[in-house]
Formats: sequence, C-alpha cells, structure tokens
Amino acid sequence: MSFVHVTSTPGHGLADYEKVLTALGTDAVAGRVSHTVGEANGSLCIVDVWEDQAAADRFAADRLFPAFQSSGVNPVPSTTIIAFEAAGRG
Amino acid sequence: MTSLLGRGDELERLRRHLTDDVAVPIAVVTGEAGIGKTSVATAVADELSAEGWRVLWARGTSDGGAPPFWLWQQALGTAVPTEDDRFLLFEQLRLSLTSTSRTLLVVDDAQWSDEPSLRALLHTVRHSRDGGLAVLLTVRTHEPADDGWSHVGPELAREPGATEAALTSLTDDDARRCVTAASTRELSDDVLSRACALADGNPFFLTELARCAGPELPRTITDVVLRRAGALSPLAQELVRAASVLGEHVDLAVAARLVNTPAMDALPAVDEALSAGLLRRSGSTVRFAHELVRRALEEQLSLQELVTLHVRAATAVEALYVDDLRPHYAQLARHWCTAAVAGDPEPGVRWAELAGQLASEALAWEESVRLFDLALSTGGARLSGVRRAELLLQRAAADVAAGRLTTAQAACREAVALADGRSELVARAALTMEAVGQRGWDRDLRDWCRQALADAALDPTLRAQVLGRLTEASIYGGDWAAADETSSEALALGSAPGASPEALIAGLRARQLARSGPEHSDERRTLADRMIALGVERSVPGDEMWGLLWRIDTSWEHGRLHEVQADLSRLEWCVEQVRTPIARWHLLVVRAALAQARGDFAAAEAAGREAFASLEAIGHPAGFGAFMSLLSLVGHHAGHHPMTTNPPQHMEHAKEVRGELFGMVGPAMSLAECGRLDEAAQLYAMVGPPRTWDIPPYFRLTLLAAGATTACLLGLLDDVAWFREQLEPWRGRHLVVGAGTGSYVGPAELVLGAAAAALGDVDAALADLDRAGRICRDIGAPAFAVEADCRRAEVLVRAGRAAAAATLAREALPTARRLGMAPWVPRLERLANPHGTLTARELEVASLVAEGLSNREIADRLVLSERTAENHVQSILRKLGLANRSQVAVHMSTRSSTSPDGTAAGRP
Repeated sequence: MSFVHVTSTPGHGLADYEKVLTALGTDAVAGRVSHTVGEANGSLCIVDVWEDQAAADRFAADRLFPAFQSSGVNPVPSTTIIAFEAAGRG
Repeated sequence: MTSLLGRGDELERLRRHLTDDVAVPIAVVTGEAGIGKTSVATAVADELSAEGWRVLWARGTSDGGAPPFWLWQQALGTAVPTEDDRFLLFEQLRLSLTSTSRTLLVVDDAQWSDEPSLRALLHTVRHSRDGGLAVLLTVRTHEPADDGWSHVGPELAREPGATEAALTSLTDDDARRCVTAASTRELSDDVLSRACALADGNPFFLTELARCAGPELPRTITDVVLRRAGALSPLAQELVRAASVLGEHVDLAVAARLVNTPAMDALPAVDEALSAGLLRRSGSTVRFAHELVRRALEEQLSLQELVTLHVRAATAVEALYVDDLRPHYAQLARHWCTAAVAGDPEPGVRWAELAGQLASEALAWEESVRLFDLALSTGGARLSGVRRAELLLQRAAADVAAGRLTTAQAACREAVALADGRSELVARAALTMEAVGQRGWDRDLRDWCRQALADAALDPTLRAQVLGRLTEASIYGGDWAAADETSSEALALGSAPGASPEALIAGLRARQLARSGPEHSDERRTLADRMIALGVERSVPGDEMWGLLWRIDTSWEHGRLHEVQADLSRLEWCVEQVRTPIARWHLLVVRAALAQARGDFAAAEAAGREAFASLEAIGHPAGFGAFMSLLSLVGHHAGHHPMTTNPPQHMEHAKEVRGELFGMVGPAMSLAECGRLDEAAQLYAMVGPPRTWDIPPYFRLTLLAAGATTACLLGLLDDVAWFREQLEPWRGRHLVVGAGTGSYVGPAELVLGAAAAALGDVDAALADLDRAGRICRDIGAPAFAVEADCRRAEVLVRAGRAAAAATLAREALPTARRLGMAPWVPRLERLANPHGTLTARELEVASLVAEGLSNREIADRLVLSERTAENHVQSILRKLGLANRSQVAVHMSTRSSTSPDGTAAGRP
C-alpha cells in the first residue's frame, strides 16, 4: 500500500524549493512513486507518493534534512502536513 | 480491577515488605511494558493510604524534558528548595518527607527518572532511620534504562531494605479471566483463545483486546491503539497524534496550538480522547493512558511531520510561557534539538545550554551534564570551535561537581585544543578542576595557567585566580619557589586599588597555601586577618570562616589555646551560616583538637568521630587522615586505638598525596608506643631515611616530631640526632598537625627534651623537659605537662636523682589518673615508688651493692651462685633505670631517707 505525504508551507515558494532541490543533487530518490510541487494560496505545496512510510522517512533523514541544513531552508511551525496510507489508486 | 488478576501473591508480599520493621523498606516492581506494574503499585498505595499512610507519587518521564529534580517536584507538589550545597539540599528533601504518619513514596517508571532525583532518593533512604518512610519503585525491563537508573538503581537495589518483585506474564487461566472481565460482551471461546495467544499474558494488551474484541482482532498494541484512535472525530485524531510529541504529560494549551485550534475549541476533542481511554486525567493535568499508547501514536508520524510538530511545540511553549520560561528550558531544548536534525541547530544548542545552566544552579549536576551533552551533540560539526569549547567547559564544571573527574579532564583538554588562542577559555579550563596529584593533569594545568597568563590583556580577576591555581599546581609538584612567586603576584593583583574582592580572595588563598610552613606563621596571621575583615565587610560568612580557620592555625602554632577558644565561638556562628558538611567538619576538627590539647580525650574522640562521619557521608576523603592523626595523639596519652596501628589496610582512605608520608610515620609511632617495635621498624623503614623525606611545609614540624618519637623508641640514635637538629630552631613554638589544625603535638621543647634524653644529653633533656612542662601548664595542656614531667623524672632517675624523680612523678600522678592517661600512669607509678618493682631478694641484693660488696661477696653472703647474684644486679639496674653500681648505692641511700609510704621524709 502506498503512502501519501502532502506538505503545505505558507511563506515558502518555488524559489525555496529550487534551493533545496539543488542541495539534494540529482541522485534518484529511492521508493518515491511520484512527486508533484506547486504554489497555492501563498504556500509551497508538495504532494509525494511513496512506496511506504519507511521510504519517506529514509529520504527525509538521509537526504532531505541535510539538504534543508545546507540550503538554509528551515522547517517552520506553520507547515501543515497530511500523511496517510492510500486506500487504493484510481 | 482486571489488571490485578493473578497478582494476589505479589500484592501480599509487597504489602508485607513495605510495612516491615526495617529502616526504609524499598520494593522494586519490575517487568515489561503493560505487565501491570503501575496497577500493582496503585493497589498497594491505595491499601496503605486506607490504613492512614501518606502516599506521594512521582513518575519518571521518557522524554528528558522535565525541569531539575522533577521526581521530587511531583512528590512534594512544590518547587524544590534552593540551596548552595547538595548535601543540604538532599537533607531538606529528606526532611520534607517526614510526617506524623508513615509515608509511602511511589516512583513510577523509575527507569526514566533523572539521576539527581534518584541520588537524592538514595541519600534519603540511607539517612532515614526512624522507620517512617517506605519506597515503592516500578521499573520497566526489556528496554534500556536512562543513565540515572543505570547509575543509581543498582545502589538502591543493594540497600539493606530493598527487595524486587518481578511481574511476569499471566497464566492462561488468569489471562482468560482478564479478557472476560474487561469485555463488555460475551466472547466466544475461539476469540478468547486468540486474544490470549496474541497478548502472551500481558494484562494491558489483554484488556485492550477485550475492549475491541470482534471477529478481526488487532495483532499488536499499536493496531489496538490506532483502531481506537481511528474511531475519534478528525480533530480528536489530529490532536492525539500531534500531542504524542509532547511526551507523557499533555499540556493542553500547547496541544491545541499543535493543531492550530483555540484551546477552548480543542476541549471537546480532549474529552473524546479521554472517553476512548487514550488519555487520562492525572490530578489537574492530562496524560496519555500509557506510554505504549503515546509511542504507538508517535510512530505513525512521518519524520517530516515529527520535526514540524517539534518546531511547532517549541514555538508554542515560547509564546505561551514567555513570562517565565525557566521551568520549560529542558522541554524547549528537547523540541528544538529534535528539530535540529532538519535545520538550524542553534536554537536547540541555546536552550540546552540554558537548561544545563539551570540544572547546575539547582545542583542537578548529572542532569546538567546530560543537557550540555545534548547541546554538543545537537551542534555537532556545525558548532564553531570556540562555541564548542564554551559548552565543553560548562559540561566539565558540571562533571567536576558530579565527581566525574576523568570526563571533566577530557572535556577541558578538548576545550583548550579548540580555544584558538583565546586566553579566557584557557584560563577557564585551568580553573575548572584543581590539581589532583596526577603528573599528566597537573602538568597540563601548569601549562594552561602559563598560557593564559602570557596574555597581558587577561582580565585581572581571572589572572589572580589563575595565579592561585598555578600556585596550587606548583605546590602539588613540590615547586615551592614557584608557588611563592605566583602567590605573591596573585596577592599583589588582588590588593591593587580597584581590584575585585574575588581577586583579593584568590590572592589571599594562594598566599596562605604558599606560606604554609611554620616560618611564615606571622604572615599567615596577617592574611587571616585580611580574609576575616573581607568576610565581615561583605557579609560572607564563608570567607570569614576561612580567615578564622587560618588564624586559629597560627594561634595553635604559638600555643595560644585561649585565642583558639576565643575564635571558636565566632567560627561556630560562621559555620551555622554556611551549613555545609565541609564547614561543619572544620568546626568539629577544631573542637576535637582543642579538647585533645586540654586532655579531654573522650570529648576529642567524640568530636573527631563526628567530624569524620560528616565527611564520609558525602564521600569526601579528607576526613580520614585528620581523624587518624587525632586518634593517634589521643592514643599517645590515653592508650592507642587499634585503628591507629593498622595503617596498610586503611591507606586507601588516605589517597591524598600530601598525607602519604604521614600515613606511614604516624602509625609507626603508634605501633612503637604500643611496644610493637618490629612492626614499627618495618613501617618506619618503608619511608626511607629521614634525611630524604620530602615533607610539605605544613607537615614539617609534626612529621619531625612523630619521626623523633619513633626513632627514640626504636633506638635509632643517628636519626634522633638529626630530628633534634631539625627541631632545634623551633624552640618556643608548638607542633600542630596540618593546615587546618587537626591535632596538637605539644611544644617543641617536649620533643627536643625526649630526643636529648635518648641521646644521653641529660642536662639538655632536663632543661627542655622542665621548660616544656611549664609551658604546657601555662597554656592549659595538662596531659602534655604530665608527659613532660614523666619524661623528666625518667631522666632524673638515670642521673641518679631518684628522689627528685619520685617527687616529680608523685606530683604528676593525680592529673594523669584524672585524665585517664592509661600508658603514663603505670610509668609514673614506677617512678614514684621505684622499690615497689623490686622483689624482696633484689632489695636484699641492692642493699649489699650499696654496702660496696662485689658479686662474689654477695653470693657468699646470700648463699647463691655468683652468676645468680650478677643476674639480680642487672635486673635491679634495669628496673631502676640505673647505669652502674655506684648509682645503686646513691639510690639506696635516698630510699632510706623516704618514709615507708613512699612520700619524701620531712615533706610537709
């Protein structure tokens, strides 16, 4: 069953996203099924679908968080996250 | 209560143990999570409460976000008292448990308690002897405990009143009864069996399964919890999931902010979670129903969500408690440090540092170490070298306070390596921990001090303090010339116009140490007066206390017992204000020495014993040497205590480098005085020839005195001559043990007289001993006067002046008897009545010797062999302490002029 992870960060935009992306490098992301990004209502919105939660957590710990650190983009309290196990795919 | 099914035996055993008639019964209930430890503890507590006991509860928390001494704050329901000394703080905590009714202290999840709280508990257990307290601890097994329990738990478990009750899985029958009782509907046998198989006898799991029992049973506790949470409203679900990052206790205001909802609007969601059994009320607060519930919910959060929630929790706490964040420092440190994995480490480092400082202020040193470690690990490679050095030095200071000297040394070394030439940091490293007699450490200290002092811009107060530290390190290294120089510089700095009081104190202390030799007594007197004045002026009793102790030292050195007595009452006042065990020890040591000098041996020993016990209670090693030297000197006059003649077994107490020489020579003296000359000689030989002794100045005179006394008894005349030569310049002075006088040895003339006597210098011996006797009577040291008189009488006998000796001995005897001078009374009795020791036959032979008969003539007269006559003469000479036959004649002529009762004829 796949794991869906939706983040919405008010005040952040695609420029911040690009900074993190650059820091992440070009290596393939293991276990990620899809990755969608956009801006909505002044927020940076990212929708990721993962093979499972473990894959999402591994990516966060091994690559995303270090990329946050090196790019200077810090987690903010206003970020909202919705995460759930997908019931099925359309 | 379903969770108590199958626990009848354990409950009964615990109840019996806790109400047993031992000083402090301790019961440790162990078992895996959910096995029913808290339920058992609650049942026992309820039962004792019903019997009139006062029950206090506290819980360890797994998150490390609690304020210092959290266990005690919970148990007492108030903040812990503020104290400057941890022994006093622990005593206050212990006394706060005293009550008119018996008290049960329950610590749930003790494996997560902070170490300072557990150390205070250990102190309480060890010092409570009135039977009013019992302690019940629950400890989770099957997972690693925090450092606090790992360090203190085994010690608590070894206490005489401790017992363990290990809770194990329920039997199948009990498990079935548990599920049946917890279920609200009838369950099929199949469901019952499957539930029991899944839960493996764990009552928490069994109860949870019973509540949701249906055709599809959840397979794990996590499944149970999630199924229950899944039935809640969306807001309630979000709330419990988010609140899981807060730890066991749920701060509702913070939890509401985690879900971006006003607190009032979140209350219905809280009620829902309470009804579902995911949360429970605990007094006025709300907590998770079980740590297993919280963990199950937290595990569902994605890592990004977890980090975001910690950031949100931290900002919520900062906003909500902006007026007083101190109680929340550790909590903020925890949230920010967890979030630092994905961002800026500085907030986490800063809050952990503040929490560490707060813990140190509260004397929760082990907790402080943990928090500084958290700051260091959070900052990691992202910290600058200087910032890391600052944190390391703060941690090292907490390490020193907690007695972890090796880790403190390592932290200081790393800090100096990172200091990047900043002299202030190097100076602080040098000031963190004193010299300890380890070559490597002491050398590093000296290097750091010199490195810091090389910076001309170093703050003057810091400079004075570093000079003081360098003085100490030089003294440990035996470099007294260097100590003289640096202490002089420190005092000059502290005395300069505009210098801070701290700089002056550092200078006075350094100088006092560097001038500890007897030749500097006058200078120390001046230093003492300045320290006293400073203490009075600034109303700091601790400083005044040191000044008084220094001044008392100099009073001793001049035999001014009345001045010691006069300063003692002011010292008592200071010690009452300071209240620390060390301060009390100093006071008791002065009292003991004064009693010993005045011949009140029972009072001396009692005060000395109390002093020793007061330091031993805090694990301080300094008390042993002082107590042994006191016992040894009491024993010198009143008969030796076995402890003072068993040195090698007790040497581990006398770890102080400075006391090693004394640790051998002191017992050698006691052994020799007990007549165990072979053992004494062996010990005495172990420290090498006296000329090679490296004696610290503050021990010089007393060690020379102890050496001289031992050498006299062992007949080592070369050594006696050397000791006499060394002591010769100190006529008019008094010999005392140690800086911070622990015991009194008498005027220098007493030892000089004894040495002269051993060397056969009769005139000098008589003069010195006569003067010693008069001095001792003048200053009010009667036992020493008796000793001087006894020794002088012995010299008189050897000079053939037996009558004078007898007179002197008879005058001294009443005092010796009154004071209980066990070894000296028979010695004086023999001198007072020398013939009493001769047999009738020896008296007959002595009379014939006095008539001038030879051995042959005596043999003929008494019908003996010539050899037997010779033996009698030798025995007479030995018993009367005489050298030749003509002295026997003189002696017998004097005897005829004394009355039969032994008193001098014609004396009024």
